[in-house]
Amino acid sequence: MHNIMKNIRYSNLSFFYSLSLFLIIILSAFQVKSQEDGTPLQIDITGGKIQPMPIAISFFSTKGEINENIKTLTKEIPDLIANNLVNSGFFKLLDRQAYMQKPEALVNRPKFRDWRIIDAQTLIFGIISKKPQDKISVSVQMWDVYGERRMLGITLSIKARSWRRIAHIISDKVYERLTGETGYFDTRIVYVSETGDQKNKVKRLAIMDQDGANHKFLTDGKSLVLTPRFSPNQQLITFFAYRNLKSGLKPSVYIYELSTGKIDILGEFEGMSFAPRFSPDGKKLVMSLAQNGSTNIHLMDLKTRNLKQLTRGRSIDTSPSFSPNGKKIVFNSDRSGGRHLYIMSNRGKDIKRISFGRGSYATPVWSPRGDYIAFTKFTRGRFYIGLMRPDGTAERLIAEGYLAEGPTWAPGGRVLSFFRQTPKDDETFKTRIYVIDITGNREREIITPEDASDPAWSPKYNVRNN
Amino acid sequence: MRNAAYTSIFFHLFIFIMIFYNLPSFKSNALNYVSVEIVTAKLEEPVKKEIIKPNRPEIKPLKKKIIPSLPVDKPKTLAIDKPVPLPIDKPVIKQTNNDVSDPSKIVPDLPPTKPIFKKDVFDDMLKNLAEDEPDLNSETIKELKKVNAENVTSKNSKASISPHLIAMKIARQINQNWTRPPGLKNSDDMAVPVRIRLRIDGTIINIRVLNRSSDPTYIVYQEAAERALNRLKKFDGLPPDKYSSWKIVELNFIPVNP
Repeated sequence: MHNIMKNIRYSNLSFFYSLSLFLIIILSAFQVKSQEDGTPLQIDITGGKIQPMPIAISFFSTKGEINENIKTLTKEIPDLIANNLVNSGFFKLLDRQAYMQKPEALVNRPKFRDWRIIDAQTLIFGIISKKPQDKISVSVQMWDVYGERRMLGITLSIKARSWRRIAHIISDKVYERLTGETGYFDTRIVYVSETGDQKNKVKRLAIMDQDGANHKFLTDGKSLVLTPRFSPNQQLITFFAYRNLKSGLKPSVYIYELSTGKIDILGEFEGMSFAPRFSPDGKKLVMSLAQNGSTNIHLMDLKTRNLKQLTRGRSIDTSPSFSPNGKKIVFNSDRSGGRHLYIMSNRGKDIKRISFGRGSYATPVWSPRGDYIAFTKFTRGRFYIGLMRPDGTAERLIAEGYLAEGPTWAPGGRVLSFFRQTPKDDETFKTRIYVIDITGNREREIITPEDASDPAWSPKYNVRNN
Repeated sequence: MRNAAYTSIFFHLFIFIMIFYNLPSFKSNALNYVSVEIVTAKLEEPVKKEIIKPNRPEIKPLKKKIIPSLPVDKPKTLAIDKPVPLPIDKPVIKQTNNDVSDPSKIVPDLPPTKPIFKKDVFDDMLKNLAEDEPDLNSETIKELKKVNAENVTSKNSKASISPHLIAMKIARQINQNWTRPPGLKNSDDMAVPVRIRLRIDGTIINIRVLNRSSDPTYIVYQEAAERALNRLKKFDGLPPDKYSSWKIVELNFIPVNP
């Protein structure tokens, strides 16, 4: 009995030996095969084409009960989205006449082959339906045509009359998904509206959507308003103004509360305060203070209203602007003769000159993306809007004019706005706000009812008080 | 006890070996050989359709599809025959002949110059007018010829194709399809490594992104790389005899902004 068991055990063992030997032989055969394949071919691809992405934005379709208004929105909403996206310089809208699939047919699932024929890389379409209380609901889908997968699906509802807001929010979502950057379409621009002749200018604070729609005046024109700036929470606007107070005409920095319309003077200083700008956290305000013949940069804590002097000396230091992380401040100064740009820490230390070109530099603004500083440059009798890296390299000019000034960044740091004055035939001037992207392409004017200067772009997600 | 220990050692060994040498290569090998015949069968039909269309996107498929069909003994495909009677073509034909390393194969097929022109080419011309849109201009044909010549040379000098040349062919075709929007955020770590698996006819059968990230800008670059490959679908002019060297290719998409 014991013997038999032993035999079985041995036979089992030899079975395992042979089996493992067999498997090792088979696997070594594979090894040879895989060695034959060798390491895969490795190729670096460094070319490619840089060009706007071709997108298809179909007219929207409707669901359920509809009315005339909704019917027009099936065209107006996609048109506004297309307009936003194309103006960003990232996208090219494909001609709708070439679309083979009708909006109604898209609802189930797009026929990707039809869209590949016109080389649409991305397809956007939507459905509008009527909701109670004058509301509409808009569902939008975005598809990757070559990858045949859905990239975005959102449904929003809003009062029908605020349809532009929905189109802007959708534009932001699409833009953010396709570029990886912060959208800037659902934002507003505050600026100085100018009326009257050169001598008796009335300057009022006004606000509008970034595309010029929903225009509104904020101040009455009794005080002369300059350099408005948004706070990071979009609720406050700071500006410099000569105001008619009982005590007389007082030039100073003020704060305007958007939701209430309340205007507050920012401290009583000896001398004149101007060129205010918020810190990225919105808790501090950096500005220039002219006292006893010298102009220095000061930092004010908005809660305690404590003032801290950052720069010293007899030179004129002005136009301070924080870096997006709040650690540095760029400003302009005449400390070395001509007007140039300088960078310092947020405590006023480590001052370093960054601009070295010909001409004078002014109004530096740090991009929200952190990679550029926009500025105004005056050289050989012309004004330019330019960009440079924060270390002063890669300077380039993207716009010019008889008078071009006051760059302001849109959220995301890819697009900026500025104003330009152009002489007219009758020896008066036309002053308008323009928008341009950092590549220097696609400059366009924003339509305003009167002359417009000193634009300031709001941060994202503003709160509306209609 | 010993028995159990051996069994355990054996199975562990087995599993380690399997992990190391990866079973799926069975599958892919089987897949790779299926397609060769089917491709040539498909080739002749689309030629006619696509010649007519003038758009750029249509020209590309034309190139792709003609290449494999030409070297098959009869260079007299539709694409070459039709344009021949047009007088513009003559110099073009000569050029290609010069390029071809073995002209004897092609020259006899493409001489319908003056003599034929007088006799029955009129009919042909009429046919051409009816069938083709005038858009079949010399440029399209030139391009065709170029591809043609390239293909013939590649066929003839199979042995001399270096891995470097294969890499260049692959890179060139990807670059033609790789687009990205201007002014995107610049960053050093936006290179997208992708491994692709190819069929012997050049068709991309698998795309695998080797590095994923949740950074929205990286996702944009990653999708641009995937889109380039999805758009390309199939590589042309890769030597089948060197298939083992380009069956699996590792690409590194490095966005270099000018």
